Amino acid sequence: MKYTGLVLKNLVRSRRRTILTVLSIAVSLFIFSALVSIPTVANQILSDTASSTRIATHNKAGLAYAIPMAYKQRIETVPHVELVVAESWFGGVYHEVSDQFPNLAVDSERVDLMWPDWGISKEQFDQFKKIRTACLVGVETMKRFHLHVGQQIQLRGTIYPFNVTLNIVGTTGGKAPPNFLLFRRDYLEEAAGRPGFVDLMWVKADKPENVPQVMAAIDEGFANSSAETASESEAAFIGSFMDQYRTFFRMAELLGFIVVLMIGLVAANTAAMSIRERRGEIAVMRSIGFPARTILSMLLAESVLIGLAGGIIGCGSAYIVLKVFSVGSGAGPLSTIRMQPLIVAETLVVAVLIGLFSAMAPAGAAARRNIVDALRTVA
Amino acid sequence: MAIPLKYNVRSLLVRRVSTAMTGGGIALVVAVFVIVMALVAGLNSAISDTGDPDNVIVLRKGATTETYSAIQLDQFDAMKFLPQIRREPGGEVDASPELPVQALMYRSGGGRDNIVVRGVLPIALKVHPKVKIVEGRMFNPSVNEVIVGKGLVGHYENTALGSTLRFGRGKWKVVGIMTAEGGSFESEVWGDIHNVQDDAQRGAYYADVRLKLAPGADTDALIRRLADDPRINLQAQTEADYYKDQAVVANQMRWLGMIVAVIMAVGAIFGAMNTMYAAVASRTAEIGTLRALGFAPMAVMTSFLLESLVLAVTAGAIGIVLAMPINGLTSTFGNFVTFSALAFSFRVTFAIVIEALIFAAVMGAAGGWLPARQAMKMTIVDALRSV
Amino acid sequence: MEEKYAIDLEHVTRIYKRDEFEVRALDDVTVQIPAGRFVAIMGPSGSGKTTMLNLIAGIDHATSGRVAVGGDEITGMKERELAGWRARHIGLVFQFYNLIPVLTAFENVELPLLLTHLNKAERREHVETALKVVGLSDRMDHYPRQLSGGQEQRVAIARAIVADPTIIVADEPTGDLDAKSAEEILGLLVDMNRQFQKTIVMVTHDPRAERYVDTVYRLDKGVLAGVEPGKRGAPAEAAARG
Repeated sequence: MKYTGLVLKNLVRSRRRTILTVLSIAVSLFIFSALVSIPTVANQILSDTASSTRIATHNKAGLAYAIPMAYKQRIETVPHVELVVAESWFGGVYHEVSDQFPNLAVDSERVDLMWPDWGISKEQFDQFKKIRTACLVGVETMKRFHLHVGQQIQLRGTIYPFNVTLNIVGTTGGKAPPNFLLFRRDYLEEAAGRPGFVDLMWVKADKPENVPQVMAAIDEGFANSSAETASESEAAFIGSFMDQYRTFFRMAELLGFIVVLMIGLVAANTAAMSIRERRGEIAVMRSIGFPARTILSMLLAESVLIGLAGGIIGCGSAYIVLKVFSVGSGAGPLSTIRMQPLIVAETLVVAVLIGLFSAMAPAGAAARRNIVDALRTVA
Repeated sequence: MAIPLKYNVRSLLVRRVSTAMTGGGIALVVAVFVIVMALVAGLNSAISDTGDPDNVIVLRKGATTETYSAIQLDQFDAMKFLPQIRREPGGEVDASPELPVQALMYRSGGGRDNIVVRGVLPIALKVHPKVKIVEGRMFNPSVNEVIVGKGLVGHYENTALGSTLRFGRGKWKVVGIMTAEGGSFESEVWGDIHNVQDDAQRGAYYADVRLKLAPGADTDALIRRLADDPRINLQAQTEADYYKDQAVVANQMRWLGMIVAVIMAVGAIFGAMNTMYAAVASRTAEIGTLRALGFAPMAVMTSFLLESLVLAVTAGAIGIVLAMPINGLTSTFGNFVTFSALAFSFRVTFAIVIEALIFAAVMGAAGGWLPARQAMKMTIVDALRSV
Repeated sequence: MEEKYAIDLEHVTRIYKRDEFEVRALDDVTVQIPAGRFVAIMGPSGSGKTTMLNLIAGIDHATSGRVAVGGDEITGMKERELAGWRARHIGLVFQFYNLIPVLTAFENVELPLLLTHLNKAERREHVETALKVVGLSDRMDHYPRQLSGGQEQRVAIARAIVADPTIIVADEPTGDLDAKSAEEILGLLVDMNRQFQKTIVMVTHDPRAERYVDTVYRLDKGVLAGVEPGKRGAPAEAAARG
């Protein structure tokens, strides 16, 4: 590209304006790419769990309603069901009220089979099955409170009118939520006076293809009973938690759109200013013999380069910030936020398009203008 | 003496396109600011307007919210007759035991949310005087009847007066619609506490108790008594404090919104700076002339700064007008604390409008500062030479 | 106030730095111009005439030497003080008129008065008078782009006299005008000098100017090359009233 030199020279010529424009575009695209990444958090989580064979079965009325423990045996008889593990939410408090982390109780017998992807070693599983007061703690919670394996901790009951004292026998990793604490449901059941109810049944199907069939069969089996069930795939179950943030996500998208509009305006303004300033020069070049088309492409190239530079800086910074942010923040909807490659591509395309469209009108006009008129403006 | 403002205003109008585009950028940033702040104000209002200034909420010790609290019947009986609690003229104690339960309800457009179904006794209406039944009547305790908060009507299926609402394990007749001055009760369904207990199979537990203070009562004494009495042994706080803590949702949104607005503002400021630099560059001869005529350097700087401010504040006003339609728009938001949906309305308050204008002015000042300084620092000779 | 010398330059030198190069625009120039005179400063390009004018007008500072104008020592004045001094004592006329394009003729002429304590009514009176003197009363509300070159320069002259300055300083006032307009402007300046006793210092290339002035100062390469009497007396086309 023999004109690259000229294009670059023009950019360097009014350095301050170029830098300000690039920065302004970079800042705006930083926001844009960060905002647009927020709704994808939900998709990320869903895709993580999409191939799971786990099903969450709970009371149709909502998670606040319980289902009888006895349902476990009946669900186990449904075709294609490999195993069932019951779970109840404890919601206890450790130390200060502000130190909340999720804690729940599960049946211990086949935990390793239900969650093989939770990074728990065989020895730790064995301990969990052996010791009634055992608990497994997520890596983040371990780090946050400087806990170690072998330590004893107490959780004060909130929904349940008693406290539990637990012994840490291991940590979870892998795909497990990094802040969850699990202890044994038989311990909870005993302490609660054997109420015979659980919050949730986790059901493992033998193959992903059979998941819909299993869910239908379970719910049909309990239809018209005193505790009707609703079964969801793990992905849908987690997705429903994300759903409450939908207003938040929609706003993020709306803001992203407005930001693009704003960048467009700023970029267009700068392009118009800079081209208008160089009207005389452009005329001189045309009178020398440069075809209008070449001039147009040079001006557009300039503008696209500015847009691209802004896009790379903005998107790059957002990528880094999001990475740092997701590492730092604990639970909450944004802890898994990451910038998808798709978003990076989208942002860069927006950057290029902004460069193109902002300069298109003034560049086109300048390139085609009557040479004589334009020369007159050369002071 | 100052350079007349009309010089700046006319100069802005002369470079119409540039002014419009820079102004447009600023207007958009201000619009975003207003929208986000209106969301925060609406959320805040919905949450904190829920509380009564003379109410106390009693929870199990260590519980942060009603969701994770459980109180037994005998604890309630022990606290009912404490002297600090207000009584009705007929002798009834203004103590309302409550059991909020999250029940799934279906949205009119599809999908479902957790909605708070609050089991209450009729005394609840006296303890929460902000709650008024605007259509229909209060529910009858012995049957499955409910009153529905206005914020839910129309957004969720079967919430209109007379409908049969399905949630939990049964069917409930909607016999009344209630408002609560915009507070979170407007996003709830209220039914008889025993029916709710049965439906959710919670046995004889309540989640929390709301007590109305007698006039002149010592709140701290009551709170201490509730904690220290071994038969009671519960934690209490004013509803004002309780709901303030819940507003964490709104506060998170405010921080996020401000960060977004500030970063966008930086982008707009760079744009404004570019425009002002260009303006100064194209008016160098004018600047030289004004200085030569005897206008002090400071007057020149002030003039350009004012030009930037006029542009920014006008654009800001336009941005506010652009965002105005959102005022009063209702929406729902997931309340992370109560795991339920909260209906709220966007509120563009007077304070927000003032803040937005100040924000615009700051953008104008920031964008115009350096170019204005440059205008001031030029030597007259150089400026005139550029004719 | 009768001062012996309206303009008093003593051993004035002005050196510019352009990157690493030093340019001696004026080199040890000593000039004394009596009050009430209409003088021209002439010389080839680069001779330092505009520099000298700038020093007299107080819009530039000498590198060394002493500058006194209208009896005031302006050599060491700080910029803010100088600005106020200029507003009171100097009337400026430029080659390219230097009118503010977004202000009307009236508003342009009013500008120097904004630096005084006159109220709105008083300012209006002065502006109207000044515009009448230059013969443009009927163009008060026109914008510069609506005026011809000659008319624009007349507005500029009105602006230069409206605050009743001690000295009028003109830098190539006829440089951008056609012959007829140029003669009109020069005639106007003569009137300022005669009727209102204004000291006028004019830098010019225009050979016609010699017929209108009392004295001609010639500069060459930053040094005073000669002083000669002007050829004043030739019929100044007083008929040159737009």
